[in-house]
Amino acid sequence: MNRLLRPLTFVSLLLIVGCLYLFQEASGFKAESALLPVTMLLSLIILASILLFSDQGKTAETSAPLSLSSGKAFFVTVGFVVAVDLVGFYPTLVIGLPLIAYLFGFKNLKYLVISTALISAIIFSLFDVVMMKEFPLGIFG
Amino acid sequence: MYEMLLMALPGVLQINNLLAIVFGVLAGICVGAMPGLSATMAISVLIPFTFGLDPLVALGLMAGIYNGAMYGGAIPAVLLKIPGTPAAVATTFDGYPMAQKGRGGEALQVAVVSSAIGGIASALSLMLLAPPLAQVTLLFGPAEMFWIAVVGLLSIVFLLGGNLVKGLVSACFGILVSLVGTDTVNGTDRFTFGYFELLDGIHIVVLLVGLYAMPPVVDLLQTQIDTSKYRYDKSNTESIWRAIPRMLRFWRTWVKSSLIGIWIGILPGAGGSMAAFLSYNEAKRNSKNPDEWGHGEPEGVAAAETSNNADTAAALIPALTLGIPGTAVAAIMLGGLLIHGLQPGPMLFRESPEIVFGFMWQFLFGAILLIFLGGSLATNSFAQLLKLPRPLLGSLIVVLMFIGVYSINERMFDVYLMLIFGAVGIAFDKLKFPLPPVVLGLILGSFAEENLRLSLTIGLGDWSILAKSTTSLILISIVLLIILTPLIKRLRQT
Repeated sequence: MNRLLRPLTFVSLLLIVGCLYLFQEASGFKAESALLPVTMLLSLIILASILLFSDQGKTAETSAPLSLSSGKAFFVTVGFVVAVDLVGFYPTLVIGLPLIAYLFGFKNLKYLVISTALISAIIFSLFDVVMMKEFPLGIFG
Repeated sequence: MYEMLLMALPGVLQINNLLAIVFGVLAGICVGAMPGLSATMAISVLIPFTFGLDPLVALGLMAGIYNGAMYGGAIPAVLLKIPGTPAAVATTFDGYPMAQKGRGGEALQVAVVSSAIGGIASALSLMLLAPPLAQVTLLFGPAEMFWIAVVGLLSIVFLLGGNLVKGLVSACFGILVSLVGTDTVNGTDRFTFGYFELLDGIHIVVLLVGLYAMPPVVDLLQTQIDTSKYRYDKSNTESIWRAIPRMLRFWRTWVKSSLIGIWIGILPGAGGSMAAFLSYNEAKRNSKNPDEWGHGEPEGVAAAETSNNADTAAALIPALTLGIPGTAVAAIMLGGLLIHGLQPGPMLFRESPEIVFGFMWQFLFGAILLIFLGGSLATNSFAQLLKLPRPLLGSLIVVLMFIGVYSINERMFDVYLMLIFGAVGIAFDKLKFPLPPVVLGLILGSFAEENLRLSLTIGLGDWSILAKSTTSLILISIVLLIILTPLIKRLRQT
């Protein structure tokens, strides 16, 4: 396995690169506004470097490989948010709520339909009617 | 200051406030009973929904959830040997063997009564200790407040255990997030990248929901558990009020475990699991029949449950008086106070006494309610929650996370930002970076900066002002002690 793809190494590198970018940004701040940001960025760079070297010093067996095991659930959540932005909250809720549950192994269609209807009704009455919240309408807006 | 405690009572006794506590306790028990969900997650998802509510109603909900969840964790711990919350691990040692012998109902009754006693003791300690501590801290100037923030941040990093470097990374990350937005002193925009949405900084709820709700949601959706395998006895038919007199023999354990829980709660970074383990071991050490422990000794359940509930309100003693939370939930609660415009710290006692003292009463009532709500429904009703389909629960929490974060400012920008923090939360969770220092960094980062700059302004740019007063010197010594103690311990071990 590529040593740079070890999770801790990858995250440490990401931190160092991110901090260097922010460091450039912080260099434009007024002196007193830059004091804490620069201190924190420098500290993060040093700490991430320590993590990076300690992880690289480990043998391949002791360092866990990079895995995207949490990726599916996270990207489904991202998909839900993007769908709300595009097609609006309620259409996404009605389709997305049972779809996510179905995709992750809950296949009882009757239960899914009833629970979706119930949850949608509760959310609508509570947030739209009582609290008068306006959710994104997407293309229907 | 204690007279204000009494003056706050009528406000708490209003029906909407009492209902909030009842609902909170019930919701907390449900959340705690479901493995994978924690009080931290429940409160972080709930906080955005409390925006429009009266602060006392919102805080009543949080206090109820916290109390309820700490007991709720005992339900699967006793019935299935699966701790609903990390703090309930010690409850499995004797709770589960009791359930296997057909005494699951009795174990849960011991758990609920002990949880209530621990919670009551904790609330009383908060009422007794917080007001005088707040009065002392009122005398602190900006230099002392700066050191208080440093003590808070370092103590949670160093006392939390685990990898110190990772803890420091978490704290620095949190502080950096707190610096996003317009510098209120000179108007400099920091790390806003041209987004006007970032001018006011990053809302604490956006960070909390992303960090604390996303990892459990991922776990709920992706971890398949066959709930049809769950078996538990339905033997509990006895009234809790008949069972209580038999439990009075545990009074020594209740007292000792309460004291241990309170002490651990006050210490930043320790938390309920440590309290439960320490109390369990202490009670076992003093037992006349230690061989019975681990095979279904009800006193073991009593020790663990008293202690993990005794740290709840106690964790708020440093949180409310100094702005330094003792546990992750306390840190989230500070976030809850902030969204209602209440800045934790000594001034809170002067500016909003009815809220802060009301909150203390709510903790007490929440603990008492545990016996009524948890006791009467203890076994069978709440145990049914274990059968709820995890994917459906996970997808419902995704929806709630969206609604909660979107409702803050009614804009999608916050939701996308929450997703970014969610990704950070998942990565930190997988790589074992502690999350409480991130939250504390966000809360204390700008607070520390503000007080540091104020001190330097007063001292005309002379840094020695930070070490001029005796209090500052004491606080600097505490900082050194916090940093050096674990380092010396590690050096000795190696």
